[in-house]
Amino acid sequence: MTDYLRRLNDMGIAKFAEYFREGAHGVQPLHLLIHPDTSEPLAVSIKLVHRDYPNRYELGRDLAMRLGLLDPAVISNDRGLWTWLALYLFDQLCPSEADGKRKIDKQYRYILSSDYRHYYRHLVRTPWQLFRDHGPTSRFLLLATNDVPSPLRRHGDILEQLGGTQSIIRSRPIIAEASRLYSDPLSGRPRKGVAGKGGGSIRRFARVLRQLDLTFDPELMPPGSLSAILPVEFDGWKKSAVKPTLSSSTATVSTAPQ
Amino acid sequence: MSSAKRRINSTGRKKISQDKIALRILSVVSGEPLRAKIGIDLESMGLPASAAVSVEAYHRSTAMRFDCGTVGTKKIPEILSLNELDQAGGVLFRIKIVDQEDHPGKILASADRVRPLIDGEHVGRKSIFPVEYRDLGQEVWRVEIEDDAGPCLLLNSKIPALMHRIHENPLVAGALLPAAFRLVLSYIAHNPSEDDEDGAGWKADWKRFCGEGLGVEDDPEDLEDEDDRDLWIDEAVRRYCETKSFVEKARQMTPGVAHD
Repeated sequence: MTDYLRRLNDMGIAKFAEYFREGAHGVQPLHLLIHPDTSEPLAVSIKLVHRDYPNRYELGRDLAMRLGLLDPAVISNDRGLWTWLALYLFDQLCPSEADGKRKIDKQYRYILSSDYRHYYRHLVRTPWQLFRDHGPTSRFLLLATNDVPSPLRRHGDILEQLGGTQSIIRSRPIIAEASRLYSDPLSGRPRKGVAGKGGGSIRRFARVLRQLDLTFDPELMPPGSLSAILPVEFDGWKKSAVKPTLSSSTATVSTAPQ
Repeated sequence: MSSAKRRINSTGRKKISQDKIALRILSVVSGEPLRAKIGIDLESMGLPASAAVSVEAYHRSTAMRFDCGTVGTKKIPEILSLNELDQAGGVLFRIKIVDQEDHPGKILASADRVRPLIDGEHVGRKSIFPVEYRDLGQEVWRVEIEDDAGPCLLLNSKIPALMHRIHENPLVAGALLPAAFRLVLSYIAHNPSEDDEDGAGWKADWKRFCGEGLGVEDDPEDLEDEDDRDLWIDEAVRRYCETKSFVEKARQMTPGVAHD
């Protein structure tokens, strides 16, 4: 099935929100996607091919490619566009259970919020943003440790720990270093134990970065230097991490498949 | 005992003083992202010409970074478009000078928690309760308090000339300003001070205003009892209202039946 990307207008977003308030029973209001009263075309024609995405990384990569003609600074906060896409992909973001009911999550997962505490939790915009910012390095942020059913509906603990601080999640050197420490070099998936609460966990990584922020600027540190100043609690992860390679100004995982 | 927290400067980084920074938020246009303009004077600080200059704008967890060349060759964007920041709050800035030679990534000098000037403010004369305009949806006003940088009164940019209208109407001013004032005092009374490197800060400024400007005795941090702190707040708000004579002015403006 081929469709053309549009954006929901205020009425379209309100109707979609109403569907949530009523429990999201039954078939989602797909008519909102194309009805001129509830949606509008984009200035540029973007073709979409409906497909089942195997994971959030593939969703991000596909969207980054398809939306490449649009100005990322403009669409980044385009509530109508991201909410349109969430409705378009709703069966994958919020699938029906065996009894026909949907297990709906917070509304900001589907309708882009302007609240800084929530907007990075949108289930469609975030994979696009992460792939755009970090390319293949975004794998460990977007993939689960193992294959899971309905992968598009899960935001993930790692992202929850890092995503709330924009200076961390948008930083290529920091995410490259985190990927090198915490991801499996072959699959790109996060390694087991990353999302724990103990020493050296991703939670601690975010906290230590905020402490180092006063004295070091990771954006201008050579690959591997950030890892070198992390405290001993990270030694276990460092020992098993792949060596960084020079690639522009950032460290990349050299063995990760493309 | 207050839980004073000092920032330790273990790497010997220099402090860029506020008078070396000309930073201003440009007038807010409803529906458009915030924009800022900045100038930085790094002469006579003895910093290496090769060190990188970067400016970070932030509000809570949202942040934007602008790479501005080096100390020797600054390339500061004419206008900083703050389109990725949370638009509904007070923006703070951080300026960093970063070594690129001996210890790449080490911060050599910085200015932290820099609050931009706003319309009507002049260098060297900053308000302790600045007013900023933001798109607050259907909220008319809001007080925002960052423990680092102090409070600001946010007014909805969608309402034309709102500050002027508040000043013009003592009833509106009397309903809004003491309430805003009370929120800040309450924050000060219930959140102990943190010492700055130079032993001053916005809370000290406010307490000085209450003491010298309004004649309120006591320092809320010396008051151990919660009720006494609440009384300190009430006293300060009462005296503030007296200096402004809100009720008298409102009565003169709208003569009618007073609800005594």
